[in-house]
Order: sequence, then structure tokens, then C-alpha cells
Amino acid sequence: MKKLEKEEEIKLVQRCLAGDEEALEEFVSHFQKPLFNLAYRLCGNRDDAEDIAQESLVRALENLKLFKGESSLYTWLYRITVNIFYDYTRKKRELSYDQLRYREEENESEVDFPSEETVEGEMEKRNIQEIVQMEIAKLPSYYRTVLVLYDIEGFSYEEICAMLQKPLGTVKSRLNRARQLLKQKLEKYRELFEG
Amino acid sequence: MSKRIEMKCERIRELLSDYINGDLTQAARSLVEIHLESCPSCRAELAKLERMRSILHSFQPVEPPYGFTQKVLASYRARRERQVSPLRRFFLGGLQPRRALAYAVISLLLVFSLSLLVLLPRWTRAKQALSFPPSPTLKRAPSIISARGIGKVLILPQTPYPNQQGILRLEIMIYPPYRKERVWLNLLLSPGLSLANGNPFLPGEKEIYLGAIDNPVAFWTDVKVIAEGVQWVRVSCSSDNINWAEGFLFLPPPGPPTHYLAISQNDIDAIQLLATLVERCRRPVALPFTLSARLNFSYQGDAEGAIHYYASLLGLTSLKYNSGFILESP
Repeated sequence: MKKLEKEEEIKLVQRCLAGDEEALEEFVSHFQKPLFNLAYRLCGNRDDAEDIAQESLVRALENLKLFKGESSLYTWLYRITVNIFYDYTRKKRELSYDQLRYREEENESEVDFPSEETVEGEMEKRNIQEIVQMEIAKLPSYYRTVLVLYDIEGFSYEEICAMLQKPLGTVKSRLNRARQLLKQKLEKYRELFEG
Repeated sequence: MSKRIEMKCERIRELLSDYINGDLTQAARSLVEIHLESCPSCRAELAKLERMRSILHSFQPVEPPYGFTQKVLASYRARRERQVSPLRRFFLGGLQPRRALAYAVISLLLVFSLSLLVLLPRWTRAKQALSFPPSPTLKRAPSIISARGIGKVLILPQTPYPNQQGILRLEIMIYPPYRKERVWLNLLLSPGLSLANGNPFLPGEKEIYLGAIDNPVAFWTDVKVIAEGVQWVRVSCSSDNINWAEGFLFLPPPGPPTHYLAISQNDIDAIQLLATLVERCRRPVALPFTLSARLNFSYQGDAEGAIHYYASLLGLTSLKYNSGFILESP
């Protein structure tokens, strides 16, 4: 879907604020895909991505009157999504839910799951993108965000600085660090770099 | 390799990310290029970074789930509706202001006294039950838990198996993702379980109103096992009819794993449970017979949809559970 021009963005926002139901639908259907994709790349699974994208869109509609048109609507919406994603990772960390679950599974399960060392065999079953996506989801959230915005979503430094409200130096160093960390994580999948 | 060269490599590697972005000054760029010509190990690093970047660039956009637009709009409208007083909507639609005011005052009084009558016992009971802190039994995690939604619900049995009266105490812990308003908690039990005495639910009801919560809350409830076999419990939390957290607990029967849970094709909850579990495993699930080749459990799409789809394609009549999953064809 093509990006809206600045004037089109403002018109759409004004129609939504005036209570035009068609405009609301237009707004959601226009922005749902980019926001869902961002959420999916950030959290690595569709269930959580759906919740994060839905919450972002609803919150954006509720707060539309706060959008002053200083940045582009995309930047504003992406900022909301990233903030909701940070909330989500914070809650997830507090819960440390996965630790509980895996420990229990290891103790009780009789199914012979492959160990970490057999990742080579796994390459045949999963495609490369799935593996990379899985490893991205293990990066610390601040690094993950910059990597996803720059390397997958293709935003410029300027746009990312506006979304995250961080200086250029911070964004660049986070990107550098994120790439290093991801590369380290991917090095165990030898075929990835041989192919 | 001498220490000096190693240090140089380290310094050059720090610049490689900026180098592939084209962010370096001409001088720094030449410095990196001169070093790369003579250093195969840094060249290999650069190749890895470039390969990784090309994989990231090749990511294809994914589609939001079917019906997503309507779901978002429904959630937005539900929240907006709540902000407008229902009384105002009803009475001020086409009435004279004075009469509307009189109606509003009378109805307000009526609604207030009625709601006190109906909700007070319920709220006090719910509040009492909610004052229980999470107990130290957290050490023992449930045999299988799964969760769905932006918040989390954990269901933790206090003992592995029910006591001699068949009663099992469950701790239910709710973790809202952020402040959640108008929260309802809904409990669903497998047919072999029923609510025992000593729980926050009113007789005949399996939901309680929690109001606004911004911190984790925990409470307990007793369930009674009334039939043999594997049992399950599902707890979900919703605000304005939108589910934001869901937790499952699977209770295997005591003894060696000889019992199976048969899940019929129409048992949506159980299939959802299976799908969620499979997805949460994030690793291949051992499937002991030939169907495994056709069932792609590393499926990245909509897990429930995939299970439904594959189940119907294969004409499956049952899915069995026994410390792992077994799918059975007719």
C-alpha cells in the first residue's frame, strides 16, 4: 500500500476526529499491516504481534487529537507501537514465565527433544528466515528495536531518532551492537554463512 | 598474531557496521579498506555481516490475521462506548432537557440501589478472595502451562494431585500488561472438574468482576475432580469483551503415563490448547508416526488456524496427549 502524503494524512486524521466511521476503517486498514509487521518482527510471534498491533491502533485512535502533525503519522504510530512493545517486554521479564515452563518441561517430559547442539539438523526443517527471526527475538529489546527498524523495516537514522526520541549516536551504537550480538548468535548455524 | 595486530582488528571490526552502511568518512573508509586487503579474518567478518544484512533485507512482509481491521474497530468502539454514559445516550437522545434530567436522576438512583444490591456481595467476596498473596508453592510449576494474550495468567496447582476428597487448590495469578480497566475473569473447566466450596465464584457462576487492576493479582480457588482422566482448566481475562490474557493448566492423571486425553475434532478449546502448546515449544514436537512429515509444526502462521486446517485435511478424529502429542488418524 502506498504511503500517504502529508496532506492526505492530515485530512484522514481530521475525518477520524470528526467521527467519520468510514475514515476510521480507512485509518485502521491503511496502518494495520505496517504496524502488525513491526510488532511481529519485534516480538517474533503472531499472537503477541496481534495484541501489540491492536493495542497500538486503538490507542492511536483514542489519542488522535494529540497528533499535531509535527512528525509524520507513520513516525507517530511506530513510536506508539515501540512503546507498547517495551511495556510488553518489561512485563514478560517480570514474569520470567518461560523459565518456569522450560524447567518443568525438562523435568517431566518424556519426549526426546533435540538438544541445543543439534541445531545443524534443525536447519533442514526451518528456513533461514525463521531461524534469524527466532534469534532476533532473543536480543535485548533496545537493540532489537533499532535492528528491526533499520535493517528490516528500512527506516533512515533520522526517522528512527524521531521514533525513539534518541540522539543519532545512541541509535548508531545500538545498531552496531545489535548486529554484533545477532552475528554471534547466528554463528552456531554454520550453513547460514556458508551458503 | 601479535597483540598489536589483534588490537587493530578489534578496532576495524567496530567500524564494519558503519562501513557497510556507508557512514564512514573517506579517511576512515580507506583505512578499513587497506586493512581488509591484508586481513582475511576481518574480511570473513565483513562477509558475515553482509550476509546477515542481506537475509534481513529479504524478509517478506507478513499479513495481519483475517478480520483484524474489524477486531481493532470493535475494540476501539467498545472502549469509546464505555466513555459515554449509557444513561446520557439513552435519555438525551430526543428529550426535553428538563424531563431528561428528571429521568436521569430517578434512573440513577434506581440503578445505584439495584447495583448495590446485586454487586455488593459479589465484590466483597471477590475482594476477600483476592487478598490472598501468592504462596511459596511457586517452586512447583504446573506440568504444562500455556498463555495467550498481551497479559499473562498462570494457574498453579498447590499439590501435584488432588487430596483424598478429590479436591485440588489452584492459585490463579493474573499479570496485566499495564493498567487494565473493567476486568472480568472467566473460568472454564473440563467436564471432569467442578468448583468445590471455598472459591471466590458465586454458586452457578464462573466469572468474577475484578474492576481495574494495574499490578499482578493472585487468588486461589478449589476444584473437585469428579471424573477420571486428564483434566484441564482455562482462565481468561477480558476488558470490554476483549480477551487480553488467557492461561491453561493441564492436569495429567496420577500414575504412570498410560492415560490419554482424547480430543475430538470439534473440541475447539483443546485444539487451541494443543496449538498454543506446540507454538510455545519453539522446537520440533516429537510425533511418533508418519503424519509428522505432513504436519509442519514449525508453522509460523496462525497456529490455531493451522491446526484446524491440517486436522480437517487429514480427517483427524482425535488428538491424544501423553507427555507429548500423538495424532491419530481414523
